[in-house]
Amino acid sequence: MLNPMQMMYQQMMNKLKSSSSPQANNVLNMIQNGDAKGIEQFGRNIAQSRGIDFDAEYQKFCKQFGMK
Amino acid sequence: MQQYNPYWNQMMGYNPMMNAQQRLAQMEQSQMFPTQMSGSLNGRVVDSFDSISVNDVPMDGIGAVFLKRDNSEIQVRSWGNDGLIRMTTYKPDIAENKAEAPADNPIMTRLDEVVTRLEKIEKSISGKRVIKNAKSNADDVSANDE
Repeated sequence: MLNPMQMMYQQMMNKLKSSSSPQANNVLNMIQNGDAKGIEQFGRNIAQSRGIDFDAEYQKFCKQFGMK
Repeated sequence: MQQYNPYWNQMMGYNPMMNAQQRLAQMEQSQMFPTQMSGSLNGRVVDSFDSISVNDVPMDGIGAVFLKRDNSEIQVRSWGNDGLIRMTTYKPDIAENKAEAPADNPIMTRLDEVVTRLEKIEKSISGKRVIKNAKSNADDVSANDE
């Protein structure tokens, strides 16, 4: 039996694997290689492309869960 | 409330001989591999490239093509693997009916020199003739006077 965290992880991995997008493949590779910095940079780049302040949004996200 | 559609089962490829598990597997398969339109191109005609939003660029590895309304530029935007958008702008190379400049041909240059020399010689010869004619005319006039 999977816990909720494992279920979310598996769902995300299944989605990434079924995607034909090269960006998804890149993220999948980074996850499999444990490249946390690469994933963060990818997130920052996506945020920059969409005109989102990554740090501000991350702070908001953390506050929702009572994290600093 | 959903309306009754007698053709629903035919549309969904209903097979009464299949059990529920097989039917579920078939539905999952059709959801996982949606049919893709082949040969279609994403993009649109724009007044200015500034009006293009991030959502206009699909993350399919191909990108989208944007054509300026006045046909002056074409821009291709695509997502890079690093999560940044790449932009390539193409401008038209309008072919005009320009007469091609003659290439520096050594034979033609030599020929021009020869023609120039010939013209000079011709001029000098015709100048001498005029003087000679004038002289002979003057002699004739003096002879008549005598």
